Amino acid sequence: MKKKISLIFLIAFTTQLIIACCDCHEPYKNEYKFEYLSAFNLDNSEANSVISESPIPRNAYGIKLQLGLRELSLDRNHFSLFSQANAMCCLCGADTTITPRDTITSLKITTINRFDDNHLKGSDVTELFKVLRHGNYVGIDSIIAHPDIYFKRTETEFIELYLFTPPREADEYSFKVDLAISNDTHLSAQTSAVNLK
Amino acid sequence: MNRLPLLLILLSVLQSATFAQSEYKPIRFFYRPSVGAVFPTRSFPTKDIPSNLIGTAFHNIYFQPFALGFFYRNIGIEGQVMLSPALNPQNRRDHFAKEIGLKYGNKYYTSISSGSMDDYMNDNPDPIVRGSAGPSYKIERNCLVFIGRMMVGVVSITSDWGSVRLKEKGTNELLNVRWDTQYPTKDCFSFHPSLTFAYRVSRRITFNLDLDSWFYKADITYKETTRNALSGNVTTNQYRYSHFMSDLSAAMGIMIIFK
Repeated sequence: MKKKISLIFLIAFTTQLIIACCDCHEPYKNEYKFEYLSAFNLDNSEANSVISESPIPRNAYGIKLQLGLRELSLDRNHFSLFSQANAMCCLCGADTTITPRDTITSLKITTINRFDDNHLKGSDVTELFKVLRHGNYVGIDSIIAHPDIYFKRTETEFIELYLFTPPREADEYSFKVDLAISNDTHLSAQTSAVNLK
Repeated sequence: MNRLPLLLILLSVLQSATFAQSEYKPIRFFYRPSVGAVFPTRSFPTKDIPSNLIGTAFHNIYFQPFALGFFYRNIGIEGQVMLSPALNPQNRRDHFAKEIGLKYGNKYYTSISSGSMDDYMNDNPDPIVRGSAGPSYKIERNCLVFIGRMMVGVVSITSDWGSVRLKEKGTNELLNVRWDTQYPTKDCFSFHPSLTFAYRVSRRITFNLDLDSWFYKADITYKETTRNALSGNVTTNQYRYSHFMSDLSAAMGIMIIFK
């Protein structure tokens, strides 16, 4: 009889222990879509880059992209007896997970004006720009390869693209940025004409 | 003038203590904890950027939790360990930033970081250790005890890391420079002559004044790594600091006589 009572208490205690360890909230799964794109001229001649409409040194020019995100869903996971938490160490995961519904398939920058002898009006100048990532300038392809690094948990994301092959002549320049999304849509934006001195 | 009577009284007390009939047995085996301060008398010239990351050129306190000695007649042997907190004074950080400004400030905007700018104690909680052992000689005159030592040991020197982000003025160019040593602390062989003046207040206890000096050669190599953020090119440079150093320390403590 004592053994049976001990066994019942043991089962009840173990069940309570497992339930206590697994008492985590189900994470909210949240998706967003890319809503709009804006492009601004960036002056990187000082310690920190700033959006500017004034003449910008050619060697310190950049484009700042503002990417609007729109939340799509706010769904709870289905009910489960066993939570996703780890019962052995009682660690719960993140409360909310936010992921992009679509991915960026390409980012293309074209010059509105004649840039130089090799890049006439309407030419693709994407390879002349770089993105700063973890202290290093990398190609724009990295935005496409690792979109999760750039798009996390805010409603608006910013991407800064820096020009590393400046035009030879000081003049007014403008650039068009075209973002292709995996759902066969495009977002595009154009910088205002700025004097690169 | 006011100090003269006090000095005469002190001298008379010392004289009477020195020449009075001895009432204590000679010290044979003892433990000697103390608390004091270290004063660098010769340290690194801080003439370039990484030399300001070496933690030697500042005063510090120390605690001596372990010091055991044994005498056979008047000749003995003693070992001791001193611990100091890994302090990181403001001026070291300022000098480091100033040197960077002098070298790079004209061409670049600088963004500096180092262990000295963060919470140094969290980065490097290990205390600075000095340890030594060696022969000793004592003279006992009733209540007064003089102990002289010539020990050898180690002095640990801390070396901080530092880095700067160099944003070129008027361009998009970016460089990252980092200075680092292979190990955050380095143990240096040291000569450690030492004196203790003790006054015996009971059969088991004395009050002490300790004077220690430390002579050691620090040999520290800093590696400077410069990375171009655009090309990814990395260039390295080495700064070697080989320098004779000396410190003086003074402490007060007690001696617990076991036998």
